[in-house]
Amino acid sequence: MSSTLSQATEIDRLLGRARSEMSEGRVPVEIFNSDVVFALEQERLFQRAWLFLAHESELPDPGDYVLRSLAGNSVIVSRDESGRIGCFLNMCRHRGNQVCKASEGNASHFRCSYHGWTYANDGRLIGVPHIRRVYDPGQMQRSDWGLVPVRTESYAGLLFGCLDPGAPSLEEYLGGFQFYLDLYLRPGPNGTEAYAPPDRWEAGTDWKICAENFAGDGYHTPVAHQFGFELGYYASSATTHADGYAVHIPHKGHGIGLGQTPGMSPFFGYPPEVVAGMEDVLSEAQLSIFREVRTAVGTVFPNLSLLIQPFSTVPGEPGVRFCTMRLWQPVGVGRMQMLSWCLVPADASKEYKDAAYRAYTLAFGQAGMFEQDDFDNWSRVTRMASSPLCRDLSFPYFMGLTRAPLDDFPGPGVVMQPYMTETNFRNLWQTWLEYLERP
Amino acid sequence: MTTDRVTPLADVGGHPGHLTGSAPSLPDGVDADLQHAVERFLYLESEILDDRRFEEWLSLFSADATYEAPLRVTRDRQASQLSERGRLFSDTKATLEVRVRRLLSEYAWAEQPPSRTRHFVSNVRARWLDDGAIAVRSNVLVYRNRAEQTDFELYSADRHDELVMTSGAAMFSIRRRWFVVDQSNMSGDSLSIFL
Repeated sequence: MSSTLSQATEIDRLLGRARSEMSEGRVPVEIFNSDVVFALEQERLFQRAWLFLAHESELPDPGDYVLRSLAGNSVIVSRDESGRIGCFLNMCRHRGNQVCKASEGNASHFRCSYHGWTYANDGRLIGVPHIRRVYDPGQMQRSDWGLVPVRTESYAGLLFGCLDPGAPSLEEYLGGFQFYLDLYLRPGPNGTEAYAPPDRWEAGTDWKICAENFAGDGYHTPVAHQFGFELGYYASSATTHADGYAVHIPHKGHGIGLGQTPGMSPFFGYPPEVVAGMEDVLSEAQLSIFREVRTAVGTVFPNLSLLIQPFSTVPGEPGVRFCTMRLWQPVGVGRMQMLSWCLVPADASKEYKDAAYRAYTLAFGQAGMFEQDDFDNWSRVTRMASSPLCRDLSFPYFMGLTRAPLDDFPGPGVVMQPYMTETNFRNLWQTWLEYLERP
Repeated sequence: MTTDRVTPLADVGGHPGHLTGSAPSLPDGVDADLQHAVERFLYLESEILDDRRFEEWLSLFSADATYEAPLRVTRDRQASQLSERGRLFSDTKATLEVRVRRLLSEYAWAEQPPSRTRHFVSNVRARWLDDGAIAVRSNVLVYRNRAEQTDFELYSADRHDELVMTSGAAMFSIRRRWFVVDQSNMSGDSLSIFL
């Protein structure tokens, strides 16, 4: 009783501190590595937000499935015989065993290895061993005991799930961010496909550090990835790297950084067929922004991020655009599992897709050169955040606080210049806090 | 650059049996002397990696070398456990050189301070290929520790190399390295080391 009381007091203290500091453009260090915050996020954020599940191209054929985690729950995402994609809790309704143990595959049904209850790939319970001998007539209705379905919706090939039946639609949740997501997801009439299964690894990093960084941290690039300048990777110099825009959707948490390089040729790094594809499907407003973008790095609140940028596998060679999509999943206090995909335009040539994937593996994924440096920094931030002196300190988040947003930008959201600013992050933290404050 | 090409055995001493030892070999297996030479090469390579002599390590690869690691995926036993297209590494000698140049710069933060690695190579199985190169399959265990941490990573891998005999001091060069780490959910913040 007293521990529950003191826990409630602790939550009040922490949220009160966060509220007061965030209103002044500061963020308490303790939120980056705290068991109270972790539990609160699980209950109040991840149980309510739309969370990414799978790219529909990962399930091209009937029966294809992938096993994913949704707010700490193991879930099956499966395409049934009629081609419809569904999502189900990976738990046998009889005694709770996992009915699916592989991370991907193709199956017409899932049979529990404990007592043999069997489910079709659309979640229906279709087999209960000895049903007539062990249950009385009418007692066991198979239709009452199917796999527990999860609410899903998709946008441009990305399937999301939500555990809150009262949550708004995905369209409302994205709230206009689709305009910018299209840069990643609609490079032609057939959108994108995941080139391969995701890289997976676990890191001693708080997921929020990554989500924030990918909401448009142009500030870290010239330092954290300084080797890129050293080796001659960047078309921009460290001095021009601040150029571009930062855009966020207020109270939705989504944010994107649109980095520019003065003098870059339009759509640099895209093959002609992809440029033609984009010109086909995107609006003039979108094209007018996207053709000037070198780096686009954005986060769909809370923990899905996308990055597109030109990159040459050997500095000096012509750059190829690659796109990575990543899911930062908390698995414990100060610990996360990373899922990282490379998306390629479905309508592009095989040569381009292969080249883009090679660029991705060199830059991102667990062995990627950029990824290595990021995680080294992020894990050390996480370790520091739990130490007794550090937790009481605050970080400054007032970059751009007193500047006015642009009023003539062709895209939705709040738009700031330059690309290096912290307005996207303040919106992310504001949204995060609004979720956590809701009992 | 001739030593970087796939060198027919005729150029380095003729018949595959030129290293004939006393131990019997499998039909396509190598004799004891060559087995020993291959193992010695792999141990030397491990030492070079563990000593962080990365430029020297690069010189062990042929100019056309590939360095590739498919992703492991957890699938039912009837299906392949390797991703057809997914790669942890998908490198050529040119991109390995980029990785090494980065490691030698001041800005490879993930290796600053450097990892302490120890490569253990065992279960070395070598056989001749039709073109005179040698296919070598080995088990590799790599220990990695950083800074003042007490925790460490252990990577176990199934490594398949193709070695070409050269006239250089190392005796061989690697024209193909292909390895699979025995984990589908990898541990460690990053993989900033070579296997």
